[in-house]
Amino acid sequence: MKSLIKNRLFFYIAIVLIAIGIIFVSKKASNKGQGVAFAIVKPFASLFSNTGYWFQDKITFVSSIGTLKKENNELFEENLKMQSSLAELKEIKSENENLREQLELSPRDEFELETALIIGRELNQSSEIVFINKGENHGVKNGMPVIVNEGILVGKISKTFSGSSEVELILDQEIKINAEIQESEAKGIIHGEYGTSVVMDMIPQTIKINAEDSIVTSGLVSSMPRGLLIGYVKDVSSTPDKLFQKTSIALPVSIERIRAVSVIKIVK
Amino acid sequence: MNKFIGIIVVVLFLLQFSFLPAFGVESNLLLALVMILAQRRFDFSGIVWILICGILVDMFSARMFGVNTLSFVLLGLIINLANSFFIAFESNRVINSVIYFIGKVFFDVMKYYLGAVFVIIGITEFNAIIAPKVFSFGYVLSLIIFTIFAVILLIVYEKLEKISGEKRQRLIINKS
Repeated sequence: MKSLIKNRLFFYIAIVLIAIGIIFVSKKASNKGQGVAFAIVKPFASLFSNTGYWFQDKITFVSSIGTLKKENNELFEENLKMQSSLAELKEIKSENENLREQLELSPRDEFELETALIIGRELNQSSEIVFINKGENHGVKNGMPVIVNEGILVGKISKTFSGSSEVELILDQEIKINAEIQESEAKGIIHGEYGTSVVMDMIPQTIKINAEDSIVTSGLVSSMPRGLLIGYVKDVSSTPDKLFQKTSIALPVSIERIRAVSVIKIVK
Repeated sequence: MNKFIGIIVVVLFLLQFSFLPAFGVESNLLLALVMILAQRRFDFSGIVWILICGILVDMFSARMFGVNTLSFVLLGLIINLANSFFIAFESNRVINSVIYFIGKVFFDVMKYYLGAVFVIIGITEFNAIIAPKVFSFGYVLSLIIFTIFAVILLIVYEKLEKISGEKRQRLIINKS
């Protein structure tokens, strides 16, 4: 019996040592290996992802039938309001262009976008990272901003492979984005909290922040253009050391449900 | 049987990586397969499949390379050891459910501490480690769903074993 236990123990230790050996060998080749693995998995992952989103669309549609009429009326009213705001904005735009011409300012930033589909989510479940089907071959580089609806920031590229890339979402704890509150021009830093919410901190105590103020990128980093919408101020509080203010952010889109994104490649 | 296990690994991986995230669901389907393999196929090929599952999860994870492989292997050893005590009840679904339930909690806690060790060694980044919220309602609910899935997978695995006509593989060590 003793020798049986001894044999078994040796066997278990051998397996663990082999596993550790494989980890160290794979770790060295992990970047190349990941690139190859993504190239193999990409078509199948795209198929499963598309099927998943198709099912999700159908389920959402069926479950929302009851509320469609109410929602339709609300959207109709909102549309009317938007039309009047749009007319006002067009007026402001032409006025802005005229003023820029007179002041000889360069035109506002325009982006060259690369549209991509989300093909998977990282398997560790400890970080908010997704993978998209565009990579170095399509001109995607590390640090490039990832947006939806032509101006809402959802994350940035954190790693690239030949045909796919890793996107760090703004819900991730590791992400750091320079941002400002549009109304007060207060600067701060955006990062995720527990993978469920986004906060902006390092805001000086002297600045007054109001709920529903817009938070946009401040453009302090060259790869991140100014003015991309991140969200709106929700709750304001002081940091534990009372030196700065901190605000939680209401996001304009449901990050978990995003299917297609655009990568800003060049700011014209 | 190896052919069937290969298909199960690929399907579970694609479901976990691409299909379920479309619904906003985070899952650990390959962990269920690892537990079943540790119970029912702890021979050379079973251990290789456990290693493949671990490396696959590590390949498609960010920041924590290696932690899943090692956690899967250690959990496999522990489940195999525990299973030898419950060998008389191996077809009892309640006993199996308890093993999967406790195994998942054990895996999450072990992964957290292994992650901490990997940080000290310098393999993992510090922020990649999140302590499991073992006492939250959401966590308990996810455990129940995981256990139900693992039992369903076990039933499928048993059926495939019958189809392949292969008998259960178990680690044989000489009693000399």
